Amino acid sequence: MMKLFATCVLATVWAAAAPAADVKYALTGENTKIEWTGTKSAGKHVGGFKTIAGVANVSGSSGISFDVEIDCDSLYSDDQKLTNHLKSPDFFAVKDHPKAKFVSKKVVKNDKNHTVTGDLTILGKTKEISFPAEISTDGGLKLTAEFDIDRTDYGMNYGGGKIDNKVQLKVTVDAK
Amino acid sequence: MIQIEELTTVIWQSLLLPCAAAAAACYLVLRLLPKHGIALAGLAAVALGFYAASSFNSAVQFRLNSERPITVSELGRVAYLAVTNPRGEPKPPTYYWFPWIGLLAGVVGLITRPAAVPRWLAWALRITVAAVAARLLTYDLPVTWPCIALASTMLAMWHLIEDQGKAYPGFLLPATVAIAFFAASSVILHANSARFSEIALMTGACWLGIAAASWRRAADGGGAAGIAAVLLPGIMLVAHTYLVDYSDVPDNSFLLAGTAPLALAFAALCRKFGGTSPRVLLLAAIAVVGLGIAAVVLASRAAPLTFE
Repeated sequence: MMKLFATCVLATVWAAAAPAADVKYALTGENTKIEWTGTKSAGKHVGGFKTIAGVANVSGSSGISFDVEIDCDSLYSDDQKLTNHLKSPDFFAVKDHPKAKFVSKKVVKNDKNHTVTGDLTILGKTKEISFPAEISTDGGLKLTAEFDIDRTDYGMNYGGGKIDNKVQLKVTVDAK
Repeated sequence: MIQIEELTTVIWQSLLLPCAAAAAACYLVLRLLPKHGIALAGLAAVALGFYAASSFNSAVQFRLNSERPITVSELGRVAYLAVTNPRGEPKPPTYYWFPWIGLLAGVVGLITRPAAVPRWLAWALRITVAAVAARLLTYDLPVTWPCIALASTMLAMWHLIEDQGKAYPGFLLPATVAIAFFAASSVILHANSARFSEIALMTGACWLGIAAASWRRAADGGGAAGIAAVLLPGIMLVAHTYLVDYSDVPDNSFLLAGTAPLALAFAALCRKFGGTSPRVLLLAAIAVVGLGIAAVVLASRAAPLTFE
């Protein structure tokens, strides 16, 4: 009787101490939006990418991680001719580099939000970036982030002086 | 949509500046070496004009890796691998090779220009350059025939531009070549690439500079004939490869713009049958310009430009 009781207590303690199960969220163009804003002296253009494939891992022990691949050919903008221009070797060179990629290395929780650090690969070049993000894992995975990247860091040099090098990115995830 | 302000910058950086630099270089060389400087004058004009334009815009990439300077050994190794093993390790995009094949053609043009060089040697060197240039510009294509077609076009164009240039020294032939490049630049702009368009514009501007210098001192393209021969069809083929999926400009437009100078064959044929009047070159030049204009008209109908 005592042995049975001790076993039950131990099992309860173990269950309480055991980490929460990993939850994987498939990231697609339906639940993930990546939008950009490019600026130049005379104005700005906005757009995004429609086709995204990836996975977000929410783990009690190892935290949150992201592995996302972006189809550069799904790029869109507010002007069809601009879209075609962006896909040319002047910018994304989609024929040679059809995919862009982001793989997170760490996601650190701060006071109010999180800091996501990871490797962003565009035009075959990889650079580590860090950006603040609001992340919630209640009832699914929600993420909102706005940050800038320098396109010349990835070899996207054409148009310097005419087109700003800084590009604003906005990422929104609402995965269940 | 093209900004008027951007267009003004492009005209200054990619047209006026290289034209002025090329004209100055050509005129200077011809003045210092009036008897034997023609070959060098053309090459110096294009080299200086290109360099001047590249100082202000990033259309041409000289480095394999933007984070470190290019070295001769690295360039040679990558080029060798690209020519001999096109399916091998990752290579730079084909448009990376534009300035280097231009330089190679210019140097060979300089070497083969003097009359003392045996014709068989001159042809052997030109064939080698055309083959290497065509290979470097087509190694990402799944089929071989574009390489052969491109090399053949380059050779024919080289022979025609150099031969007619020697027969009819003066501004007309360089001006005709310049207009062919401007037409190519316009077609590419309609096809949504400013980079390739600027490269064609810069090269055309250099030839316009040669034409301007040739007005005062009768000369021809000299050593630059090979540069025009490899770059014009090369740029149009590479541009078509990259832009065909993202542009409404028809294939014919690219073809006409890239091969327009082959209309100089009319002048070559006339000379063969005894016609050496300058009007013959004028008619051939009109044919070249006509083909270029046709290419631009086709492009603009399919994909009109918009300005703001």
